[in-house]
Amino acid sequence: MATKRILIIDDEADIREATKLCLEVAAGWEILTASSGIEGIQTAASEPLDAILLDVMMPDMDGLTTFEKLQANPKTQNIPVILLTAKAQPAEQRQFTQLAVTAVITKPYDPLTIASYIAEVLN
Amino acid sequence: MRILLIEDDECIAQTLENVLRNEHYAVDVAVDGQLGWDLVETFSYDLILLDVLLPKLNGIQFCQRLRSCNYQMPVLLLTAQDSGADKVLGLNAGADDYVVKPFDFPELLARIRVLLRRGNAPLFPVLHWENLQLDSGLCRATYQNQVLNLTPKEYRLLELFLRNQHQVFSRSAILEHLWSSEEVPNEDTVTAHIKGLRHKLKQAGAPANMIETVYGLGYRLKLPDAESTSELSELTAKSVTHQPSAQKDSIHQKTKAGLDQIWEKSKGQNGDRLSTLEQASQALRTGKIDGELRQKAHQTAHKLAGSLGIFGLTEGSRLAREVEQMLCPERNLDAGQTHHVIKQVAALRLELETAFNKRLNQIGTKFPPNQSLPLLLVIENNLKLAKQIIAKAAEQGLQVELAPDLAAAKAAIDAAIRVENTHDQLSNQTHSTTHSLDGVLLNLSFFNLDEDSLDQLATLINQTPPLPVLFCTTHDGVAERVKATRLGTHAFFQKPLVPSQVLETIARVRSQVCISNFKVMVVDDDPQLLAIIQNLMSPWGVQLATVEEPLQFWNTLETFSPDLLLLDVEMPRFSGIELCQIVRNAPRWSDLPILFLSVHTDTKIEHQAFEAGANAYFSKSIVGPELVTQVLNRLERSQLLRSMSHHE
Repeated sequence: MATKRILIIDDEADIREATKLCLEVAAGWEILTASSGIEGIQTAASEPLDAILLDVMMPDMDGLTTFEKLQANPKTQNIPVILLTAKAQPAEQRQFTQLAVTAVITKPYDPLTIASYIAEVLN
Repeated sequence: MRILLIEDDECIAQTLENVLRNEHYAVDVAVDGQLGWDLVETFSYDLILLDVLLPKLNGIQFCQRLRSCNYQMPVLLLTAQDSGADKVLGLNAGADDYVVKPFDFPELLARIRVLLRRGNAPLFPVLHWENLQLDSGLCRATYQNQVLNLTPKEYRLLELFLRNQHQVFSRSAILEHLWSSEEVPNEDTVTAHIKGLRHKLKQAGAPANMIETVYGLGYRLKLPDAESTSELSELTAKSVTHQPSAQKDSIHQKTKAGLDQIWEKSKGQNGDRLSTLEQASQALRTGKIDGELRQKAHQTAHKLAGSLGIFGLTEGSRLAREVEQMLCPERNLDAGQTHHVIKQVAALRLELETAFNKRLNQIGTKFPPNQSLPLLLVIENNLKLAKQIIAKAAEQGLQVELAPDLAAAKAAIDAAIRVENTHDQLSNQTHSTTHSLDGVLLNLSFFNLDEDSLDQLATLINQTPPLPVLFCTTHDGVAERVKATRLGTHAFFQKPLVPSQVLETIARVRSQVCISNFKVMVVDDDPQLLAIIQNLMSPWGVQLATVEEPLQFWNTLETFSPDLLLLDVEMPRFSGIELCQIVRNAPRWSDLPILFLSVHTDTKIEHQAFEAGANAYFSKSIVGPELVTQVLNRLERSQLLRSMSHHE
């Protein structure tokens, strides 16, 4: 897999660390992390990125609001965003389909194959 | 299309249900308004057929509630009351149309079709998607004018996609739309129907995957520009990048090792999450859960469901998901569902603890117990039995720490001794971060604990107050019984055990040995004596109110409401005997046990005390432990009498 720079935005430390580990070990990508939407937006605006993995349910600023703000900023609007969410209800699923996100990955994901999935999505 | 029929007349409901099913609609039937409301809150419907005169919640009220909760599905009123006022009332309440009984079925079905079209798609009798056509009037689908030979379910599936173009449907959403709640197919059934539909479309010349899989979401009609990066990408397991097998194995091993480390680091975080769920579980049990705690627990369960699965705890993830769904703020839980949540939270704790022990190959690593619940230590290697006890304990508001082997048992006993010592040191502090044990179930026949551990166990059992310990064994020999008795255990069981019997015995022994929550009021003008009594009683968990000034006596009696009164005889202003008389003159306190403690030993004063209503009279020369025993005996007797009068 070609080297990529990926930003993970997730408020849960264990999931953030686990996802980082899976992508680093399996794909050798450079992984940046942010524990909140605000921190993620700041990182995305200041770092060159190939993609953002964005958790949906976060306190303070949720994933969908974070996504809107990323889309509104010319510096970040073209970065592919992959939503990470626990199994969504039908209404939420409909909401996701309205968004220009690159993919939605349902948690719990398989830690041994997630890197390959993301590589496929981004290619 | 899924229809909810709310009709209390069984004959009409049955007939209508058959007619609708013949038209390939999925139908659920509710026989009263409240049941109908429960179904609306649980499932997703495309249309509701609603009788007006219904038990529990009538059709007009139902409709008003439906609209006030922002449910937008069309409602067709079914009414026998052919009056203008009723129609206006129904339509004003939010109904979209009405039909008057007795029905003209073709007309009823036509009105249903109109409402479904209005609710879901433009008013075109023929639905189009590229070269695909579906004529809802003829119930016929074609691709490039070639008729597709579809089964009824495949037809409804295609209709669902065509009426909701661009919309993604998960397998569960498709189940909700096309199957009734009485039919219980699993999601694989949807996969099979999708496969069948794709096959028939392909045979007719349609592009492959005209019904496309949207990774992580479900299925929809394939968009012409679906290759665009702004669209959701399709992924299948086949597209996983291939790597050499040895390299893949090495990556997997590194990943798993790294995940183990993260899992260990996340112990505190997962303990906090579990604690939140247990708080909610406890609040549900007592019926005192507030919206904020429920919301917090719902979100916590959501997080846990996502997290646990990543670390390979599939069952834990499933349990958390179930708790999440049950705690959804919009959902009203009945008694059975509440009970289910409590059980699932207890099962989740067991899953997490077992996972920690297995993954780290280390015994005794436990999540911190919930401080608000009594804690039972179960030293038992039979996991099936242990799980049954844990489930039963959860129903009764007890939590269980499991020691499934010898090392874990010793670690748990060590920890319990440390906690007791800490409590002794911190006895004057109001908060402690540790949790002492409230009972032990011990299977000694398997463990053969060494002498040190047995000594420690005996220390634990014979603390003040004693720890209830139940001994269980497969062998009912004299040697086992003697061993148990020497340890000071409170009950002896021969296997097989019945979990409810074990817990009942624990509860009974606890009530016998643990006097906590009992209240004793002591009246004496000697502050030193009050301090001594305080020291004697506090290890037993007895709440004590001391009164040095008899003028404060009545006020304290009324506010503290003691279970037992301990009086001095000679005090300034009022004597203890006078206080005893006024207590006995008040009907509320006629049964209150009153004990006298006095320096006077002559029989005349003793006689006066008994005449005034005393239950016992002791000299102040009585030694501490004897006084404690007398007080505890009176309290137990009083509790027993109260319990008997409750049963009567």
